Amino acid sequence: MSIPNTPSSGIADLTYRNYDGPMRTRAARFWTVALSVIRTNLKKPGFWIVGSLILLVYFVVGLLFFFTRNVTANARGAGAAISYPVAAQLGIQWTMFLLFIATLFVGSGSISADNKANALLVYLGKPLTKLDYLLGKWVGVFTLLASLTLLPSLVLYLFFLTSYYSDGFLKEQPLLGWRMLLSSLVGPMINSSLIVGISAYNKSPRTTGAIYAGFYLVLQALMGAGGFLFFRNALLDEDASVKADTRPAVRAATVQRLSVPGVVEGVSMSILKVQPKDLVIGGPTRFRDRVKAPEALPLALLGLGFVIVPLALARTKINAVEVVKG
Amino acid sequence: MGRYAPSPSYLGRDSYGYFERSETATCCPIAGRLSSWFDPGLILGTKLETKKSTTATFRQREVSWGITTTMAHVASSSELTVRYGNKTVLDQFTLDVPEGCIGLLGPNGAGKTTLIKTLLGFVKPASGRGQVLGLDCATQGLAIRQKIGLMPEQDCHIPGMNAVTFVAYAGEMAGMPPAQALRRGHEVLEWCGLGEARYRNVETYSTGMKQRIKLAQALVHGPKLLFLDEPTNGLDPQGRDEMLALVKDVSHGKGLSVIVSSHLLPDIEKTCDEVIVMRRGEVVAQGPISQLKQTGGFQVEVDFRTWSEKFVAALRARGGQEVWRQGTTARFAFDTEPTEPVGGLIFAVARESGAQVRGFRPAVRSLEDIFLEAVAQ
Repeated sequence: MSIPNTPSSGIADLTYRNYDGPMRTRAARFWTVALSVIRTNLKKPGFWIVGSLILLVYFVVGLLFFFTRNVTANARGAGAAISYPVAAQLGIQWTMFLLFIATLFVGSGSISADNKANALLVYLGKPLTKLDYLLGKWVGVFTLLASLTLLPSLVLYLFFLTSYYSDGFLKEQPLLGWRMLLSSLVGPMINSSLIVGISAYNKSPRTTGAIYAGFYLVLQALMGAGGFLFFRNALLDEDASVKADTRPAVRAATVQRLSVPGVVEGVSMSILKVQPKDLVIGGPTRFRDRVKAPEALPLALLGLGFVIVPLALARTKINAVEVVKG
Repeated sequence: MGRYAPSPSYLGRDSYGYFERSETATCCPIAGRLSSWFDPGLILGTKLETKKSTTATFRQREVSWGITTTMAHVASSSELTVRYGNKTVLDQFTLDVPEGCIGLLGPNGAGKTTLIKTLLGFVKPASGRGQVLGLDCATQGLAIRQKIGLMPEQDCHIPGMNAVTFVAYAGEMAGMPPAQALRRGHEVLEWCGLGEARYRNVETYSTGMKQRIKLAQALVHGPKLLFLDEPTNGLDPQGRDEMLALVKDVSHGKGLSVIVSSHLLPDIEKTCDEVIVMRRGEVVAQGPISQLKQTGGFQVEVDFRTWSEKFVAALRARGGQEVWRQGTTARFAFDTEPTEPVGGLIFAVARESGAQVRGFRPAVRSLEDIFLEAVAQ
């Protein structure tokens, strides 16, 4: 029996030495996990491709804003220029699907890959709590997704600021920067919580991705169809009644947004103070005026549920060892 | 070095022979406490803290020349009861694990894994108390896991990382600053024999290499106590020898205690100084292997060319009882050591009975005997 590699190693002293160097306090442990998630995902080409596409979409939004404001607004018979908040909202809405794809790239394996490789034994064999681990994973995924939405929003805001400062942009929209910041974080927050929560219950990143995609798309389709039927009935009732009642249309708009992208859209509209009719491009004005904004409270509560419930469920699932009851 | 001889860690010195900070701090406990209260780094939660020495449970022992020395237990439990639902796995379990390399043996369901899980703070005990390095396992699980290293039985790694990143990451999770963790990761991988493969993705490793990297990640932060669960699982004979050499090297003279849980008795025999045999949640045998191997009274093993009943009868007449026989080898026990030399006695009896004796030796029990006797009680 001999210690392997003794003679040929480049390191002169191969005997085991104890480590008595400095140790950090526990405060930074979750960030260590988060940094690892970030580093691992930054190596994935898919993340950069989706990130570039999101930036491209924001570039298109910027161009659209520029043309409606500087070119077509001066032409006779053209529609009104889109406002700053509407441009920001369009950026969020048009990149929502790309954010969903990025979530699949970044978050599918966040915990499920660890489950598959028994990595929890390594993590929880160290001085980490379940909360440190979960928070680290969530912060890692959230930071990556937030960077995909925040950076383009920042670029768009800087475009507004530099190009329209002399037109009184800051006086007109003094809080737009904060509103854009907040609204850009809604999508990453919900998406990262859901994917991390689902990931905790699986041992395969592919299964996690499939379940998340199913939940995201099926719920969106169901609620979209339900909302459409509600809206159609609301319009028919409105036409038939003498007294105008907008509540069914509001209810329809709310039902239509009871999904992941719907909640992101609805909450960010509330933050940016954008009306849905401003987002409807084309169509008769009579129809556009009848599109109502959803109720903010139910959507905000559902969004909060999308953030908290998956993480709470994930916490119950994360264990270093299987403990058989009974 | 005997079992009770003070090792460097008893004396509060680190591996380089210097006193550790906490040892000097204990000279003036009030000043030490005040400095920790008014330490802004601790309040901000960002301070780098010097690693404190192991706070082992000490049992004072008077030695004959009048100096008080201490004997440390790296882990202990007192009337520890652990239940999974209605099933009681450990019932009023009391155990002291001394420093050194300790083998934890027991048949399936004996409670070894439950004991380890409980000591590491993964499972909450229903009652009683467990301590690891002087820290309570029910309330100080994190502090315990800071000071110990765990090499689990199952294959486990963090996906998508090469070996050095993985080991350095394990060090960072234990609290090491990133630069130190990376440097130490390289060192530990060299020591484990993975120096050449350190930049390969861990997922591409062979079973033997995976076992080594599990050991490396357990050692990276310089633990005072190492839990090894089946360290030679899935290894070929050469890999097994190398792993056992590593375990033996790290557990002797490095200020590090090791608890090895294994079903492979030769592995335990090769690496450990002491064993604890468990059965159905209780300790049925414990002690240094050399002591446990000693037989009661005086026993001798005799190897015959052909089996001879006459020899047995003649030896019985001189107080020797046959206690065990396998083929042409038999073990005879005497209540007291014979007054005449054993060789002379054996030859005299052989001459008298006409038996042909090929050889004889004082009998010792194997670890397997100890294990089988203990679990059969």
